[in-house]
Amino acid sequence: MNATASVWRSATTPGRTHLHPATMERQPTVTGPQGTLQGTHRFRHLAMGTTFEIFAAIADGQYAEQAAWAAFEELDRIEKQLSRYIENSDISRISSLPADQPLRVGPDTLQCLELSSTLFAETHGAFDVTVGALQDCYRADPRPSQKTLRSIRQRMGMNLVELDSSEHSVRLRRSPIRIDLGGIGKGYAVDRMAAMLCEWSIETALVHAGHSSVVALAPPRRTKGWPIVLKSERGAGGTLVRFDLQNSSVSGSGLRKGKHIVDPRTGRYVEERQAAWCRGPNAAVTDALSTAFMVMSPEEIEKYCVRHPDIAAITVVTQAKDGTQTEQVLRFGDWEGATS
Amino acid sequence: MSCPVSAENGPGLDERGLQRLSERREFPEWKDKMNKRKMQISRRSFLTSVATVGTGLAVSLRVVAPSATGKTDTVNVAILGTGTQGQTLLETCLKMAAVRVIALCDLWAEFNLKRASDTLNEYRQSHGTYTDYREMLDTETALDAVIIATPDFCHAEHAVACLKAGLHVYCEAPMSNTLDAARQMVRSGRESGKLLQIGHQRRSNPKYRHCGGALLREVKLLGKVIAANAQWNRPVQPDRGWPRRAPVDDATLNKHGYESMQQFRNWQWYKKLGGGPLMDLGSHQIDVFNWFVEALPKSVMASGGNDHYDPKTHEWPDTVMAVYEYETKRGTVRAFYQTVNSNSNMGSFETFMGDEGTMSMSESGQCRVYREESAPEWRRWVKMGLLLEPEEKQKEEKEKSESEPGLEVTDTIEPPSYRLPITFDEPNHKPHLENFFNAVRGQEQLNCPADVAYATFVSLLKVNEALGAGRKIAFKTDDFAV
Repeated sequence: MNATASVWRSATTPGRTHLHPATMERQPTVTGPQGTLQGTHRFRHLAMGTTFEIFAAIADGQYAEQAAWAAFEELDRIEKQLSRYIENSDISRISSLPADQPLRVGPDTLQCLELSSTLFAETHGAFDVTVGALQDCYRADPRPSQKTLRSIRQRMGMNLVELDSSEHSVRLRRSPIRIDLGGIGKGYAVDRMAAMLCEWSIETALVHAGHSSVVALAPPRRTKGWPIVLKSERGAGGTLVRFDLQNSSVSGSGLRKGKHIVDPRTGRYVEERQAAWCRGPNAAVTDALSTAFMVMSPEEIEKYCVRHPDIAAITVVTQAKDGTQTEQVLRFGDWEGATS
Repeated sequence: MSCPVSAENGPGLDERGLQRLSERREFPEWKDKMNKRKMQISRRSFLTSVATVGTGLAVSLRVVAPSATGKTDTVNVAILGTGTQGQTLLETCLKMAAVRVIALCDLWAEFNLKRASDTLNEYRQSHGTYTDYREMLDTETALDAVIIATPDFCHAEHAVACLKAGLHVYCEAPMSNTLDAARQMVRSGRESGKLLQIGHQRRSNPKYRHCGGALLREVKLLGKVIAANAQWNRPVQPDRGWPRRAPVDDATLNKHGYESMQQFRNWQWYKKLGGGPLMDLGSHQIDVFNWFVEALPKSVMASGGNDHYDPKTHEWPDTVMAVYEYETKRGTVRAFYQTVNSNSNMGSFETFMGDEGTMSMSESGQCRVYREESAPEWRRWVKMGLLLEPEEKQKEEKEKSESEPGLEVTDTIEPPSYRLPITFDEPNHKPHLENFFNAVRGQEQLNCPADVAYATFVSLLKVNEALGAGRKIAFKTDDFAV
């Protein structure tokens, strides 16, 4: 067991889970109608730079705790493969890989990269895990020259990363390529944790990664699902939409204080988009798409949701008009059953 | 004492450091080492390149690279015990060239065996699955070696059976949970003429080899080593459970020495099955003490007990603190060891302190060396490539004051800390497994053969004796003999 693991059980009854990227840096809060989800156990664990939580609705608290621990062990195992901040993770190994030399990676890394590759193609480059070099560049210098940006962008794009699923290997067409799974890894981990809970026959559960990616399994008894609320930082009341989530996922992305998102297609900061959410079949996909929807135009998002009926999205766009800022909320896809 | 404390090829330098040292006149003997190493490297890179040529074929996992002896270099391996540790070793093997896992064995078919088998299936690697290791040894005639990751009390039975079947063995640490069983393993290894490597993986980790070999032993970077301190602090956690739908049936459990699923899943805590945190965690770190000071302990005293868990279900102490005394060629070294179940703060690390500096290492983190202000300059070691230059703002004040008159006043300058010129970007167990597989191919000596690990095991068991006796216990020279 990883020495950094920690988990505790809380008597708190969970209710409505805020999925609120704009305030993710605040202490996460869970509020809601008391008593509706009685008998739900709640467990927490630090990983991937955030707090993961499991809500499990099952009578036996000790069993729930042991299952949660098994899921958190799975999470720690995955982090060791996917984190670019761990020097011997698969992702770090890819970063130091010369061009045209295949490297064998673990199954989790391969799955994340395969999905990233598919979504890179489907979003025409709006979701791109090869943004690592660009992020490093902005971290070192917030105003890089055009020349620097051009040279970095030559080392970006999933078309430069060849995946061989039969050999489980990665080969770079150019080197170095800096991969950052920050836009998909947490979602993937949440999916795997939910799968572990199912393996333990805990099917009424919710798992989330720092409020930014959520998987809901079967709904708690006498409910239509796990209550979710999406909020915007500005605007009256802040609540954009409420809905019940079951057997699917939702993720959020946003410009938190001091955080900047760079459009991999232009190499420039996103300015007018405040937040984006995506609802879909699993958290790896919604995590990645919520990141992509931060940079895609409304027309592109609309097109994507039409082509993929299992995906729905909400974005918040700010516009400056006559010295005041207005906020526009756009919905895409099927939000039937959701209330505001 | 003449007992083995390190394997023949001992802790080593990284290639660049070795190159630089060998170029200097004061280390002429290193030229030989360098040339040998070069051959090893070219051999290894040859294997790697051969292994990767096949990418793109649907089934190209069998890599055939004939060695000088005509034997193929692909090592066929079974993994015996596919719990958490077995699965880690499996995933590591899958990232290696010229290693093929062809069989898996675990008595928990519904969970451990299934998970490991699913992983191999993802790699489209055909393999046999077994719940009885004897059946596996009878059936899998193409095996070269077995990796054993079963509970401690099974190690001897499993290792001896595999060695007798003519297979090389890599067995997880600690060796066993009793002295007799560990001794039996060493003897069986000798009699069989097969390799028996024990999984003290730090022995092959390039960071540790650089620290223990080049820095500590060769250039005596810390001066005279006085003390060592190693700790493993982990958070309290619930007992391990199991998915309700997939327990092992009672008859099977009893047949294999477990009274219940609770025991089976938490074997580390039971005296007849495991050795508690001291053995689980301490075995790796106390092994580093013996290895780095190049001696075996003279005495040990200890304190410990069940400070968190219920001793009825956790028979071994959850808190152990031990103090060893070593008589080395350069004087006495005292080493403190601590394993605590409370919280994860501080994690796990090993430090060595000498009169010229301190070295701090961690398997999962950075290794750093700190120079004592009054110690001789380390610039020469930086120039030789043994250490990296300290970060800019930490550069020695002397340099600045010499170039310009007047004392520069700035924000506080931190004392310099030196990092290692080594990037370790492999999975933690890979170098040790690689060393084992290369030894199987006849290309390397084992970094942790059974007799070396036996000395470590004896060092550990004495802590329990000291805990029971409540006083300092001396080691006798023949304690370490098999």
